[in-house]
Amino acid sequence: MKLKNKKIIEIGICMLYLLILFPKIGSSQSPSLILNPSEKNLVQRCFIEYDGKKRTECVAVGDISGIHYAIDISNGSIINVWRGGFIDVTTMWTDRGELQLAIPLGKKIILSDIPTFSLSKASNQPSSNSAQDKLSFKGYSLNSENRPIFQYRFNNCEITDKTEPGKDYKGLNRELKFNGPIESVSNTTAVLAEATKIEKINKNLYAINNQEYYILIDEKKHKVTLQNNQGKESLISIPNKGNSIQYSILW
Amino acid sequence: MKIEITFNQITLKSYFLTALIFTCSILLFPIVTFSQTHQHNNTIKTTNQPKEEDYYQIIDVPIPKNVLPEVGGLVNLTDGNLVMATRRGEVWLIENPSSNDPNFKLIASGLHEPLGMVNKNNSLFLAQRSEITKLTDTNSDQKIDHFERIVSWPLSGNYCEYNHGPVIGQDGNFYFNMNLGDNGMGAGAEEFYGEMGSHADWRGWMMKVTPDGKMTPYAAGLRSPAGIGVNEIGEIFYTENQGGWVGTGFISHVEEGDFFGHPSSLKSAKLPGSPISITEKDIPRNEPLFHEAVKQIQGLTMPSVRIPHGILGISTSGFIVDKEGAMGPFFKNQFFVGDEGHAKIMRVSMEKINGKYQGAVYPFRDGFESGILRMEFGKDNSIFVGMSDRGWHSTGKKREGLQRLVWNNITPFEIQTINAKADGFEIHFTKPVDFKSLINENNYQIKSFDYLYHQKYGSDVMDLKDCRIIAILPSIDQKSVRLKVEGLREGYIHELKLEGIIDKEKNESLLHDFAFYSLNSIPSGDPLSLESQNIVIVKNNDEKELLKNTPQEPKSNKEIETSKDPKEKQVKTTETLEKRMNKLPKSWKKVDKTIIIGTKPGMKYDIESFNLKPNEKVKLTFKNFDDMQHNLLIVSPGSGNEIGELAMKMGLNGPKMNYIPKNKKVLFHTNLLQPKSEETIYFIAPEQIGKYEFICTYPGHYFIMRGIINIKN
Repeated sequence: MKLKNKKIIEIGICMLYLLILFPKIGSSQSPSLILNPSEKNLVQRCFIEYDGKKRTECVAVGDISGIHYAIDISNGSIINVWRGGFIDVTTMWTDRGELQLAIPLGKKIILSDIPTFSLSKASNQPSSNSAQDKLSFKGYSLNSENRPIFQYRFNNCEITDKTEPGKDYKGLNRELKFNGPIESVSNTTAVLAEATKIEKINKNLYAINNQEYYILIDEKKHKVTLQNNQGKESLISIPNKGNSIQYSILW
Repeated sequence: MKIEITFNQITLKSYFLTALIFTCSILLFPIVTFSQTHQHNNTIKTTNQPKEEDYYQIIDVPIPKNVLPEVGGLVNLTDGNLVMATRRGEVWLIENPSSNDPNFKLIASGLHEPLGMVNKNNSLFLAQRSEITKLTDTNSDQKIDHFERIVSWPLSGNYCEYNHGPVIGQDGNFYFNMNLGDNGMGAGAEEFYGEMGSHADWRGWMMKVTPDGKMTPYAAGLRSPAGIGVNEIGEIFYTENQGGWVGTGFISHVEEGDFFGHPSSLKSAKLPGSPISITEKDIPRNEPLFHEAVKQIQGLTMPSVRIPHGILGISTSGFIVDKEGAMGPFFKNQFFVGDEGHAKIMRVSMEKINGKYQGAVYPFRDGFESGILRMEFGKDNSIFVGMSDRGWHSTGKKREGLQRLVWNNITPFEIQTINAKADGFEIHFTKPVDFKSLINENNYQIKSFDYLYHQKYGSDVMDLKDCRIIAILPSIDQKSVRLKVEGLREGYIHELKLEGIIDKEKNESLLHDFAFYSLNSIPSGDPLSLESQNIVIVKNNDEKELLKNTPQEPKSNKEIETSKDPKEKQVKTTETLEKRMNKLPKSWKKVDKTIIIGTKPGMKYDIESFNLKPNEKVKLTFKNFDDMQHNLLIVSPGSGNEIGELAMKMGLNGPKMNYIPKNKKVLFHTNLLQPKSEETIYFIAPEQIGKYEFICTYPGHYFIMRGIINIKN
């Protein structure tokens, strides 16, 4: 067959193929919209489903390394961590956006959603001022790598919260910094993890829910307690001498 | 940031792309051709008919391919640059926005659906879904690096919980509107409230926020308050969308403690700080006319200017006040109000009568590329028009856009303002009027009507009555006229049609020859004396009786009825049934074909086409699953656009006539269905084979809500 005729047939087949494909494009098979950090790290405010409910104050943070997390800023709780693709935002920005959910791509680890910060039980202060007991989200800054540093106010302290992937790509490193009067800083506690089962498997290393993920924390610098409360186990720490808490979530 | 779009893992090679472009251009041709700017003229004009584009040009803003202008917020900076916030949470700085080559810089991203933005002290403030955020560039690298929460509020997560604003009032505080949520359907719907409802604190309220973040409730009764803004002295106004409890959209001044009618917001009226003491028990269930409800309910606010639905838009949205007279000095301090459904801008003039704002709404400029959401003046006095249909579709060709509107400094012949008088109206024109036409009483048609206050979606035009012109007093300069009118009704909307008024200079008709004045209050004092010099007293003609409750036939329909085309065939069927037959015809032994057509999100029917045989006996059920009203008309081959356009011109009679034009090309039809309802019609398929169409004729819907019926053997 002549080259010219062959090309015409090729183009004809393509057009036919596309004419068949075309009706599908406008219909229920809408293209999916995916956010993936390629040139820079991403921050996206969104709603995320957790335990069957829609969490309305979430931030999904995506990293070029492919290690991502989602945090609920109403209580400072990192609720999901995952590796791979970042988030599917189809239901946020397609048509009317009725479902309005950001969906973490790939297999996600579901962490506890309990408030991260609380007053220590050993506190002598009267717990009458409920405003101090409530976490107040102040906003966030972006550093030079476009990573967010969240800012809260709790118990008379300014708290900053920065989480970024570890250089060995095994997980996330979180640094919480506390700034305020000594009495306030010293009676603020942070929950590092809450689960059905928390096991200390080595120095500085705790396995959560049969090694679904791990918490790594330098116990020379931090006072870490494992508590059991009505069948739930929690790993708690208080600010170290440098008024901060540093730990890693590994999976 | 890279957004990947995957079509089920199919990759397109270069020759596929070529074929795709080719196929697209063939398929898009009819859509482009039929989406041209259409005129809203209701009559045959014997004089010259000016066009909007002769005075106001719509110019595209060149936008790079990596920018999706689904505009949610627009701000102009003092240096002439523009800042745009988009639905996908991006904030773009646009340098030299009026030039041929504007420069777009992404300065922020990751926000959650910002729907408004304002500039204050070198920071941008915008409302996201869950908070008002202050955006600051702390190191002057033209990138926002600090996002501070000013205030937040609880949400249920319902997608309709939009937050429009903020704007800054004369008191220096922020104001923003909390949209109601969607009420769903079936068992989940809250019956008393209708299709929209409050699912979290303060939804359906306008809120006031101090600069340091203290939020207090300001006004209630809002439904879908898509526009918010300030006039030239910083007073707050907002726009509302027709729907349940809102007979027609409007723009209104808002004062603290105002309640605009939607009862669902009253769920929050008992919360601390609420200035509203109205309860649900105060809301009437007997469907009164709205002005009657305002008299009955202490605290129900009459909106400043109501905007008749379907005639001047269907989805009132963002607005701006022309403080500098950018669209002409004659329009200084008037409002330009956008519409998200009809992709056009209306104009509103206001005056204070008995201490409250009221006024008139006029058409202004049609033909934008998508649903208008936000507008902002440029430094060069053009209006930047930010658009996004946000999933609801509009009469525009595109789903989003950014264009600008420019006045060419030529004065159009327009109604400048309409002012209420104790016994009539005073109308001012932008140019002197031909004297003969100015004093001819036939050139003034005034009617008044109201809408109902009820849970149903929207309202028919109610209690339509004519007014009678008693006397006409032209001004010496022929630029205005004082009409003495009989039949004015306080609380009613008055339609003023001025067909036949001619421009003295150019012998042209008015650019827009009708307006609607919300006569909320009739001013007292200063009636027109019949002894005035130069007054023309209209003879009391017996034939000019006040018509009572009879909707008048729109003139354009009469024009079509007398078609002179001899080739036009009457569509034949074997048995003549009514066009809308809801009961099984007794003569039918059986139904040959049963069709069920529903709706899909995005204003579409869920069936694109189906086949029928000639003379088949058909039972068709139309199910409206949507949260808007729709109908279904079956029309002769090729007449979809014609019928759709006729429906858009039905004026005040539209709602009562279910937007069904009286035309022989309309073969069968359902009525206009409320959301979540259905209707069955029986008809016999026409004898003539061919491609018939079915369309929805709710104003503007026919562009996309349509399908094909193939009648073949």
